[in-house]
Amino acid sequence: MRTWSDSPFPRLVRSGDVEGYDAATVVARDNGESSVIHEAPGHPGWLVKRYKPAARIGHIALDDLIELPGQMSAGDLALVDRSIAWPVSRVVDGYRTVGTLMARADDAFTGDVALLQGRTRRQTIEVDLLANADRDIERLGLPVPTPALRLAAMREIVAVAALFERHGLVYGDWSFANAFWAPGTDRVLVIDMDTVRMGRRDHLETHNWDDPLADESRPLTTHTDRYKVALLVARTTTGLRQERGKAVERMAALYPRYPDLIALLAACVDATEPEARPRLEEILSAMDGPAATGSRIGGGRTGTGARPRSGTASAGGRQNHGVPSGANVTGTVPWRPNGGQAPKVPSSVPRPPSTPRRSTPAGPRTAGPARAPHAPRTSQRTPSAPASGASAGTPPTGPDRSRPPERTGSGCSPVWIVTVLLLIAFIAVIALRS
Amino acid sequence: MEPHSEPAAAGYTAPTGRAEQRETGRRNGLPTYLVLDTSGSMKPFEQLLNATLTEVVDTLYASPRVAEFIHLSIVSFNTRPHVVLPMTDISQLTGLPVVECQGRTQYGAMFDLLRDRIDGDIGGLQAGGVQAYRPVVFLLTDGIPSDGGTWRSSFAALRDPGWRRRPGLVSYGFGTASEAVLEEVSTLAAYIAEPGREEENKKALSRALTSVMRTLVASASAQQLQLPHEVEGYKSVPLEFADM
Repeated sequence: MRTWSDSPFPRLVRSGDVEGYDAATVVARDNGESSVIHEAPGHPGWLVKRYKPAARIGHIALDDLIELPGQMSAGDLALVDRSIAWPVSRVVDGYRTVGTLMARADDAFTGDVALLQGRTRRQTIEVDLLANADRDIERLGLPVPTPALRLAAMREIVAVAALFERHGLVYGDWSFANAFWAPGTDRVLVIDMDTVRMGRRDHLETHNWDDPLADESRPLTTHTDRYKVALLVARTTTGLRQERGKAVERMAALYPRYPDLIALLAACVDATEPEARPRLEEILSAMDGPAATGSRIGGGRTGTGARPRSGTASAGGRQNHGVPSGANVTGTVPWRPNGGQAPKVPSSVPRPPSTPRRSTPAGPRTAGPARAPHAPRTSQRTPSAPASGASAGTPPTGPDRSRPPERTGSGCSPVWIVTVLLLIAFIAVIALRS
Repeated sequence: MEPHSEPAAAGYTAPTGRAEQRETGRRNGLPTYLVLDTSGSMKPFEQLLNATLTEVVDTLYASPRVAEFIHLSIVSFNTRPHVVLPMTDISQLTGLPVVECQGRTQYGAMFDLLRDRIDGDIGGLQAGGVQAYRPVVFLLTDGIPSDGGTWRSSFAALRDPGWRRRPGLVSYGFGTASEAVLEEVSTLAAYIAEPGREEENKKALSRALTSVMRTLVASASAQQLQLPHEVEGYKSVPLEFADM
C-alpha cells in the first residue's frame, strides 16, 4: 500500500494535475464534506478527495496536518504508514483548497461479502463488519475472528488514537465507519484524517456515539476521543453494537486476562468528568498487559504500535520493568479503579525505532485449530495474530497487577551487591598475597 | 468515579449512571419508503428496476451501520399498490424483491397504503427499541396520476398536519412526469429529468435510484436525512412554503 512516506507528490498539487475520473475510478460520491473521491489519474494507489464547494476547509490546519508525520519518531511514522490514510498533499485551484490526496487502501481491506441468493460483492470492509456477533460475520461470508484477533485489531486502533493524542490531535469522529479492516487479520486503516485538528475541533456528534459529557457549544477535545475509542473497542470486541457500559461488562467476561484494560475502558465510559477519562496511552499499555507471560495482543507490538522484529512475544521494546515502552510515551495519569490498583508507570527507557510491519495477507476462510467457546469458526491465523486465545496458558490476572510500582533504575539490585562483594574479596586476596 | 453497584465475578458491572442512561435509551432510525411507479409505461425499465432494487437491498444487507439507521420498505404501485419489501430486519431477508410493470398509475391507493403502513411500521420499530424519525418517502414516477384528482384527498390524509407520523416526500420524475404534480406531492425535494427517449429515460431512472441509494448511505453516516444538493441529469423543482 502507498504510504505518507513514499508520496511522490509535492505538498501542494494543482487541481488540474489530478483531474479526470470516470465511474471505474470513483470510490465514493457525495459523502460528508466530499463531493467525490477518485483515483488520481496516472497515480495508481492514490486517491483525490474533492470537497463540496460549501465545505469549510482550513488550509493552514490542513497543511500542518500534512507536514506533521515528518516530525514524528520512526516508530510513530511506521504506524502512520501502516494504519492511517494520512493526507499527503493539499489540492488547490488557484488560492482555493478543493481537495486532498491520500493513499488508497490496498486489496487486503477488501473482501467478498456474501449477499442473498448465493451472490457475493467485492467491497471495502469497514470495522463496521468486524463489530458484529460471530454469526453475523459468518452470514456475510467473512472469516470469523477469534476474540484475540478482534482485540488485536482494536489494539491497532488504540495505537493510532494514542498517537493522535500524543501529537495533540483530536479525531472526534471515531465510529464503525471510519476505519477499514483487513478480514482475517488484525490490520486496520483509519480514514477521514483530513478533518483531524490540533487540540480541538468543531463539535460533531454521531448518534449512538455521542459523548454524554461533551457540551455541544464547545469544541471537542481528546477527552471525547477517549470516550469514543473506549466504546469502539468494547463494541467491536463484543459485537454489542449499541451498548456502552454493557459492552464493557461483556468484555470483562470475554477477556478475563485484561482486568486493567477493562477497568480503564470502564473509567472512560463511566466518568462523570471528562478529565477523569484515562489517557489512550494507558489503554494501549493495558492491552499489552498479559504480554510478559507470552501472549501479547497483535503478536508483540510495542507501545507506539510498532511491529516486533520477530514473531515472539519477547521481541519488541518491552523492558525488564514489565511495562511496555514506547518511543513517545510521555507519562500516564494515575488512576485507581475501585481504589485498589497500582497505577501504571511509564517506562523511562526509550525503545529504539522499529521497522514498519510487513503487510499480512488475509487468511483463507478455513477453520483454525483453536476455537474459542463463543466463536463457532475461527480464521486462519496470520503471522501478526497471536497463536493462542487471549486467555490461554496464563494466569487470569495480568503480570503487572501483583507487582509493586516499578523502580526506575535507582535502586540497588542483588546482582550489584554480589559483584561488589566479589570485587572486595578479590582485592583482599591480592592484598594478602602481596 | 461512581462506586459500582456490586463486584461482578467477571470483573466489571456497568453502573447505573449518567452515561448509562443512554444505554437503555432507544437508538434512532429513519423509516424509509421507496415507492416505485410500476405502471405499464415503466415496462421497458422493468429489468433495470429489479437490478437496481437488488443493489439497494444489497447495500443495506452488507452494511450493518446503514441498515441500523435506514429501515427500508419498498412499495410498488400501478393500478393497485403492493408492498414489495416490508419494513423488516434486512439481515433476516431470504429473498430479493421483484417488481412487474403493468396497469395504470393510481396515486390515491398508493397514498392510502402508505398511511396504513406507517402506523404499523413505526409501532414495530418502537417495539424493537428504535426511536423513529419522521418517515421519508422517495417516490419515483415516469407519468402523471391516472386517477384524476381523487388522489388529492388520500395525499391530504397522508400529510395530515394533526398526524405526528406524516412523512416527508422526495420525488424523482422522468419520462412524461409532470413538474406540477411533483411539486404538489413533494415536501422535501423534487427532481425532474428532461423528457427523452427510452434510453434517456432509462438513464434517468438509473440516476434516480443511484441518488436514492447514496442518500440512504449518507443519511446513515450523518444519522439524519441528508438530501442531495443536486442529482445528475435532473433539475430541482422549486418547492414553495405552505405557510408563506
